[in-house]
This record gives sequence, structure tokens and C-alpha cells, in this order.
Amino acid sequence: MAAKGYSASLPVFTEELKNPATRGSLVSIGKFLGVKKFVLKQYSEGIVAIAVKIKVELPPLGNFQDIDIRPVEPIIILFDIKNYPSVPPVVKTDRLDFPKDALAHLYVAKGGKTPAFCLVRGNMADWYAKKKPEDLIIRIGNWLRDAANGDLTLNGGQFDPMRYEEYVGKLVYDYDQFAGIVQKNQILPGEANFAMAIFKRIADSTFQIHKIVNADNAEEIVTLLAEAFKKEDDGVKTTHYHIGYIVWNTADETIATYQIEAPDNWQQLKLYATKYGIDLEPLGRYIAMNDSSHFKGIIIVVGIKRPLQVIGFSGPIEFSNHVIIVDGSDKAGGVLSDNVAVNQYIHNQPLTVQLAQKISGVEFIPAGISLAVGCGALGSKILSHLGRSGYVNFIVVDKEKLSSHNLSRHTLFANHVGRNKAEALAGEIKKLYPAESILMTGLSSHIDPTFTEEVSNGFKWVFDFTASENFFNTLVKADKLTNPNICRVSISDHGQMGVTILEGCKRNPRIDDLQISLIAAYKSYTWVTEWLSRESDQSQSKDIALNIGVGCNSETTVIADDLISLHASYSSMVIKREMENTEHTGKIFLSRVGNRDSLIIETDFFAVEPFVCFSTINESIWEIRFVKAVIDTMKSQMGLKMPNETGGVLIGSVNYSTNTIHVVDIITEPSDSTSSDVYFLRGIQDLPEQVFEITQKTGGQLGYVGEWHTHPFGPNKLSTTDMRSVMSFKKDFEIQEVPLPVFLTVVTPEVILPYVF
Amino acid sequence: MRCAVANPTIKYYPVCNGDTVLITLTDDTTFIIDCNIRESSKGTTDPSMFDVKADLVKSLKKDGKILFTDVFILTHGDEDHCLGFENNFYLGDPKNYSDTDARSEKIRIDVLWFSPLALEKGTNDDAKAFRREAKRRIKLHNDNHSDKDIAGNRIVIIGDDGSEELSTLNTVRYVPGQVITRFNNKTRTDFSIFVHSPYKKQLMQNDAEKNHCSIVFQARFIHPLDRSKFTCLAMFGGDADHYAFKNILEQTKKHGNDTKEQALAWDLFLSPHHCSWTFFNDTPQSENPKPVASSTTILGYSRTGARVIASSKAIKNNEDNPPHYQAKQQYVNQVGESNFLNTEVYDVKGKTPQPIVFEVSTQGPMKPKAAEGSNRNAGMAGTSVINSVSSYGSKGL
Repeated sequence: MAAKGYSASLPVFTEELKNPATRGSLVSIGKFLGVKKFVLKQYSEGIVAIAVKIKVELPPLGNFQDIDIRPVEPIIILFDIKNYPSVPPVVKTDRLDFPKDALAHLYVAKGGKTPAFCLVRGNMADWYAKKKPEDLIIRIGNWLRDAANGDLTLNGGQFDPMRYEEYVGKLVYDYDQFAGIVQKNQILPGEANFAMAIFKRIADSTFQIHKIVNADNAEEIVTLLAEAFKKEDDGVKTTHYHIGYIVWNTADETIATYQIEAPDNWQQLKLYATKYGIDLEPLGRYIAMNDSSHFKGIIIVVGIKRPLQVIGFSGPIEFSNHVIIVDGSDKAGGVLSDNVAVNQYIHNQPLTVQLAQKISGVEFIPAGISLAVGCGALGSKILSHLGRSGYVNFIVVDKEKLSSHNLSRHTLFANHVGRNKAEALAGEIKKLYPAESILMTGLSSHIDPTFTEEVSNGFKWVFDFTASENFFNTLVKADKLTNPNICRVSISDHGQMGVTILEGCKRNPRIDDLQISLIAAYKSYTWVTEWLSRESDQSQSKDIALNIGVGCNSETTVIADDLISLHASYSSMVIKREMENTEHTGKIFLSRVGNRDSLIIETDFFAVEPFVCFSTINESIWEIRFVKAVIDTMKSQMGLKMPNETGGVLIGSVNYSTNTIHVVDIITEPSDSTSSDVYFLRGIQDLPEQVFEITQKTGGQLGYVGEWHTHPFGPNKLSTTDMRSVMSFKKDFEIQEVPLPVFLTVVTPEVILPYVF
Repeated sequence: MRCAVANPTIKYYPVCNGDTVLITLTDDTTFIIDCNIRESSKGTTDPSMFDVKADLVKSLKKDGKILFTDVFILTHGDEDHCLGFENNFYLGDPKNYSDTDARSEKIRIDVLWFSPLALEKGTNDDAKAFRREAKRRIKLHNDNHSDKDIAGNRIVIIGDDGSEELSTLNTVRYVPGQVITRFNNKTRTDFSIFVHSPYKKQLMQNDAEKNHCSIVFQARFIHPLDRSKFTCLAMFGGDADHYAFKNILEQTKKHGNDTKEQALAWDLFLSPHHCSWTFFNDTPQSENPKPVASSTTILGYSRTGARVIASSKAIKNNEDNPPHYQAKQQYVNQVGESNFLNTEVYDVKGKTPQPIVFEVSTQGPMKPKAAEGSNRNAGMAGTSVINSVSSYGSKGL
């Protein structure tokens, strides 16, 4: 006769089952199993149970490791009377002799009850929400089938850890650090089989590892604890430190069985540990005689050596986590009382850089330190995204302190008001990785970080998140910045456009080249003209140079937090991709928000070729940077007009701060021009109209910057006629409100000869 | 896209009196053993036939646009073992596999396995097509062509008939008694094949008969943690008769491979010649009613819980052969009624017989897990109600 199951001990549920969902499911299950009516049992308060028998297909060559799974298995299914089906059923074995020690995927049981099956990976409620009650029965049959044939245990050659439920709190520590202690047998000097660790209580029932005690830091930790405990005694608010112990079997023996009866007191914990080959007596004596805990809670982490790598972890050690509650009276006579209460805790892996990368889908971050300047709304959000993805090898710089009005769109919260933005941000990112020492360092700096050669050569990347024209110019002029890749992220068009620009190899194209290239894209995209027109209308000053980038530090700048986040997210994604590259070319990435009929988000990408750069032939402070197509046009025009000279005007922008003339376009000879093989008289037919159109379409950002003409047969220098024109131009330009330098380029078959006067 | 399976599987398709078997390993390497793909089984024209081609399309991997199987083994060239070969498999230079071939879901065979007998004149169109394809590949190998070892041109020859045409191809030849561990250019530790037949003396007989010379082999699934153990041993024998099996028994024992290699043990036994009496004795059975000792000895090598699969039409208590009712009884005597499985009746959904599938667990071949359903459903276009006129109204006409 078969042994009675656990359900036989349960009283019959005599009330009427009012939940129609439960009633309906019982009918479905009964129909599926061929049972007309179930006897409902009262399992516990608010929980009813039915006992059913499940047919199990057993493998032909015998059960895996002779595990006692039978062709028909009795089980009990528990229903929450009120909350079913949003609270899904729980399935337990009805066999008191179920081979629970040999199986994973069983939840730890308490109080002599039978264990529950762990039927699904992930959330049971979510699984059940998609299923019919019959599917639960099928799943149970399949689970038992897998238990019998070893699929449940082998699980791809890894070891399945114990399932916890009803745990009281969390222990936060790095698995690899603890497993390393166990595997290297790093016991507390002079003790048998345990190490000591200091935890911080970071929330109710949540303890986070602070330090492992070793010979080198023992003295320092004694002082730390003494000071903290004294403050506690004095009623001063301080960190709550708890002492913890990691205990294991120092022999090489591995254990593949499971203990699913959760220990309630020290005596049971000792027995529990013994079954894993671990002797807790020495630890008990140590706690009774030497432990100096201020608080009652003492953390006990039991390291169990498994035969295979534990699923979800990097090694074969499984940790069982507990907190024991010890009063002074529990230590009487130098022996820890068997009645000391034991609570079960769950392990939480602190976020590590490696884990953050894995979760974020980051496969590889090339080595090297990056500098980020600007931790305002935009910079803080980008750095937050990068930091959470494991990009933490950063030095971040900002001279500003966080103000209250910044909170409407900064990634930091009110607790940081008054703190330096860079320091506070770096601190928060560091806190994401409590178990690791990461570089992420914030500097409150007024010093230009690009000035010294050491700095310039030390960084892999320099990111400009400042929206500062001044810093933009600093980067443009920073000749010593030869090694790092440079990226600038800014917001324009009243927050509607995010601009991420990345310099090319050897800083060509440079950030100013990229910026001017974006403006020059007006020829291909009408939205560029529309954008530049809006920027022009907004500009109160008559500065010709438009700074693409608006600072968000001002209360008067109206851009919402979500809009900045949108651009920051896109830029962060671009940056992560680009950081993986080993070769760099000039690129512009745009994120644009449109508000036509409905909210539209678009992105654009431009590749920018290196510019052709010249110093002037005459002595001057100017650098000339041509779009390559301009050079090509000048040369081809020379060939076309041979033997006569030809010429025209150059379109671009002049920057007095960086002493740079950018040439992005060319106008060839007007139709009323005259020429011979020794002279060229540039006409004016349609020229003013052409230049006007360019100026208008670019919001005044591009216009006339100089003249070009050819010397098809030399000389490779300015002629006296040329010089007379220079003098004439100079007189004319000097009386303008913003004077233009006189810029002439002579093109010969051999060379390009730019002159600036 | 298919995902790698957790356990290997063996699928015996219901193809009436004929064989089509698909073996899929955990890395999705596939072996098709014989084919009996009837045109009428395609689509939904005849619900009494399972659509083998559609299932193969779902089950096989793709190399870009090209559907392919790693290995195709033709046990012998009878029509019920190669029907549909020409229409469903890609034949010819694999470099010329076209978009039209892709649209027709032609299956490229990376490695073609055959015995020298398959090169004899075919007696049916598909056997002839097979012969042409085998000869095309053989020529590449004989010419030492640079493409001879690309997928779609590879060959494995089982057995030696002493012919000149195949005399230089010993590097791609295996003979009875050998264990093969390399498949489609990949050496495996999870699977091997023990070659049982055909022997040279069978192939060299002037009147070498196809059934008698069928390729016979044991597919061996190796335990992932203990390579000395087999998680499943599946025996395939085409239409081999009791004479062939007697020879196999004698030779295997003679060389000690029954113990050294467990070469005669089996968990799954595809009854030769569709549950024909020819495995047990000469026909007609009424004149030779007693099974020969060698065949019953072979059956005696079954392991615990072993199953016999009869790939045939439904077996009735009559004088038909194949399948033969008394043959079935002999198998049932060995494995029990519940472990004798007939493809035609094992699992029939509606009117359509379904394949017999085994999942090879570490504890032996098992029926796959029961499939769970879902709490959601919606009638598809093929739902019968949707395709029928429905009348409504409070009053009848």
C-alpha cells in the first residue's frame, strides 16, 4: 500500500469556493486528468489544495542517478482563494519521501512541509497568465520527466543552485571575491574554516560588503569598528557596520545534494552545514568568545563546494546566506546557544563593470582613459548612460556647482545641490560599482585640461559636453592634442537638434571643419536652411560666428529634461559605437525632433572628408582649410580655361578667434570677366546675387571670404597686379564693421598659394 | 531561424511502406536516411498523408538561402527508399544553386552516402537521378577536382565492390566493422556510426540484389559526460534480409564488436523492409513460419525499454507482406506491444499520421515532452468553419 501523502494530513476545506476563476480551473484540470470532482483541502490561511496524480514518462535506461521518480507521482496544487489567478498556483510534491536532496528546481521548504517545484525560469505569474490550467499539468509532467532523465540536473553541464523563498533580506557581495576566498582557503589567521568580513547595513535587512578582514587591514578595521560602535553608543548618526563570516569545508570534497529544509536556529544551521561537510562548531565558539559585534545581527555565509560550475555564477561554489540574531546571553559559557535564531537571506550580486557591460550588450571597451569636460544637463546624462554601461575609465571636469534650478534637467538629484557637478556625478557613478575600484574621477577645475602635453597625450578620447564657445576654440587651437580622438556633443535649434561630431584621424577634419560642413549641407537639405534661419533670428548679437550648442545652465534656457535625454541617449549610443573603432574618420550625427503634425524623431549622419589645409605663403597668423572639392574645382577650371587665366570668389567663413579661414565652396568666373594668358579681370555679373543667396540660406554663416585666380604658366607667387588688388581690397575691408582679412589664392599647375593680408 | 536543440532527436516519418528518417544532433547537424516523399503528400491535398517535405523544410538548416542536410544516406535504390529524390533534393553543381532552387526549397545534400550498388542501373526515375548525382560527384573525386570537397559535392561510399571506378576513393570509403566519427567535415564526440553491411562478398556477387545489399548501420549517440556509454543505439537496415543479418551477426561476433563496440545492441530498431517477414525467414511465411535463430539473436540484443519501429502501412492480421502480421508478432514478443510502434497508426491527428519522434536523453530515447498550449487562439484561414457556409436565422426556410 502506498504511503500516505502530505495532503492526507490536511483538513477538508468545507466552505464554498467563491472565486469563479478557481472553480473554472478546477473543472478544466479535472477534465484533463479524468477526475470528476476534487476534494479540496485547507492548506493554510487563504490557500486551498487539491491532490492529483501525474503520469510521468520514465527513461528506458533507468532514472538518472537512480533518482526515485515514479511512473505516477502524487502532487498537490495550491490555489490562493482570493487572488487566483493573479497569484498563480503553487505545485508541491505530495510525497514525504520525495527525493528532494537530489534535485535542483525545488524551493526550500519550511516546517515539515513538502517542497514546491520550480516549474519556470522567471516569473511564474507571467508564465501562468499566458497558459491554461491544463498546461500547468503538462508542465508538471515534463518537469518530473526531466527530473527522471537528468535534464533537470545536468542543465548543460552546470550545477543548478538551490531555490530560495521566504527570505528575510539581501546580502550584497561580489560572488567572485567570496568564491576566491573559499577556493584559496583564505581563512582568518589562526582559525579553522572561516573568514571574516565587514558589512554595511544600507537599508532595512540589506547588508552590503564593506571589506574582507585580513592580516594587513585587521588593525584598521578594529579601529573603524571601534569608532563606529562608539558613535552608536553616543547616539551619533553613523554607518551601521555588521560583522560577518564566510565558512566552508577546507577539504576538496564536493557535494551535489540539496538541503531544502531551511534552518531556523543555530542548531539546525549546524546540521544543515554538516550535510555540506562544513563544521560550524569552531565558528560558534569564535562568535561566543571573540565576536565584537555591536548589533545583534551577525552574517553567516556558507560556501558549499559543488561538482560543477553553478548556473549563473563563474565558479563551483554555491553560497547559502544567513543572518543570526545573537544576544549577549546567547554567548554564555563561551558557547553559542543552539537557540540563536537564523534568518535566510538572498545573495545580491553588486553591479560590476563586467556585469554592467553584459547587461548593456557591450562586448568590448578598448583600454584607455577618456576626459569629459562639461557635466551639465547634457554631459551628465551622457556620462550617466556611459557609466551604467560600464564605461567608467573617465576623468570628468566641470567647474560649476549644482544649483537648484539645474535639477529640472540634470541627472543628479537634490541631495547634490551645492556640490561640484563633476565630483558629485563621478561619485554617483562610482557608487554603482561598490565592489570595485574604478577610475571615474570628478574634478572641480578652472584649469584648462588641454594645456599640458602630458594631458594631451594621455587621453584616448576628449569629450566636449560644455556648449562653450570658449572651450570649442580652446580645442580647435590645442595643437598638443595630437593623440586623443575628439568628440563634441551639443544641442541646437532651441533643443530640437542634438549634434554629435567626431574628428577624423590626426584631427582632420577638426571640430570646426565639421561644424562648418554641417552648415554647408544647406545645399542638400532645406532643413539646414530652416534651422540656420531660426538660429539667425534668435541671435541678438551681430556675431557672425554661430556656436552650435546652447548651454543649459541658465534658467532662461527653455529645454525640457526629456528633450535633453533624447539627444543624450542618441549621442551616448554613437559614442559607444565609435569608441569601439580603431580608425576614425570625420562624422556628424544628428538627432532631430520635429513638431509638424505629430512628434517626429529623426536622425541624420554625414561623413566628412579631411580638409586640405594650408598655412599662408606670406607671413600671417591665418590657417586656411579648404574642402577638397574646392581645390579640385580650381584646378579643373584652370585646365578648362587654358591658356587664359581664370578665377572667382571663395565661399566660407572667417574665424578671428581661431584665425582660421574655412573655404567650403567656390564661385567660378562671372560671365563679364575678361582674361588672357597674363591677366584675369574678375567680373561681377550675378556675383552679388549668388553671394546674397548663400548668405541668406545659411543665416549669415557662410559668405564671401576671398578671391582665387590661376597662373597657368606661373609665376608661383603674387604678381604686382595681384598686389595692387590686395591693397585696394584692404582699404575697402578695413572700413567694414567686422573687417575681413584680404584672402587671395593663386592656383598654378604646381601649387596652391594662399595669401592673407 | 532554428535554434540548436537541447537533446538529439530521431524522427521516423509516416510514409506508408517506405522509409524516411531524420536525425538531428544538438548542433543541428542533420542526417536523412532514405526518402519516400510522395508528391501527393505535399500541401493539404490529401490529409491522410503527412507532409514530409514541409516538415523537412521546417527542420533543416539553411546556408544563406540554401536549405541543406549534412548527410543523406541511401540504404538502397528501391523506389520506396528514394521516391522524391529528384524533385526535392538539389542535384548538380552546388555553385549553380539558383533562386529558383531556393524558391522550390530544394535540399542540398552536403555529403551523399551510398553503396556501390547505387551506381548500378536504376530501376526507377529517382534511383536513376541518384545514380547520376553520385556519378557526378565521383567524377569530381576521381578527377581530383578543386571543388570535390565543397558542400554538395562530398561523398561517402559504404562498402567495396572491387570496381575500378571506385578503386581510388578509399579515403571516402568505409566498410563493415568500421566506426565513423567524422560527418560533413566535422569530427564528433557525441555521435558515431558503426557500419554493418554491405560486405564485399555480397556486393561482388553477380546477381547482387538491392535489398540483400542494403546499407545496415548502427547510429550511436554518445553520453555527454561518459563517452564509454551510449545514450541511444538506433539500428537501420533498409530492406536487408535475414541472410544479411545472419552475416552481420557472425562477422560482428567474430571480430568481437558485439562486446568491444556494443555494435549489436539497440534501443530503436527500424524493422527491415517495413516489417517484412524477410527479416525472419524466407517468404512466404506460411512455408517458413519459424524465425531463423540469427534474427531472433539480433533482436535479443535489445536494451531496456527498447522499441521497434515499423515504417509501413497499418499492420493488419492478414497475409500482406510487407508489413507482415507475424513479423510484427515476433517483434512484439521481444519488446512488448507498447514498444512496437507503427508509423501509420502511432499518432494520428485528424486523418493525418504524425512522425514518431524520440528525444535522446542521457537516460535513453524518450518521447518528446508533451507540448503546452496557450490561453490564446485565433482561427486561421484554413479553419474549417471559415471555409464553410454557415446559415443563421430565427426561422428555418
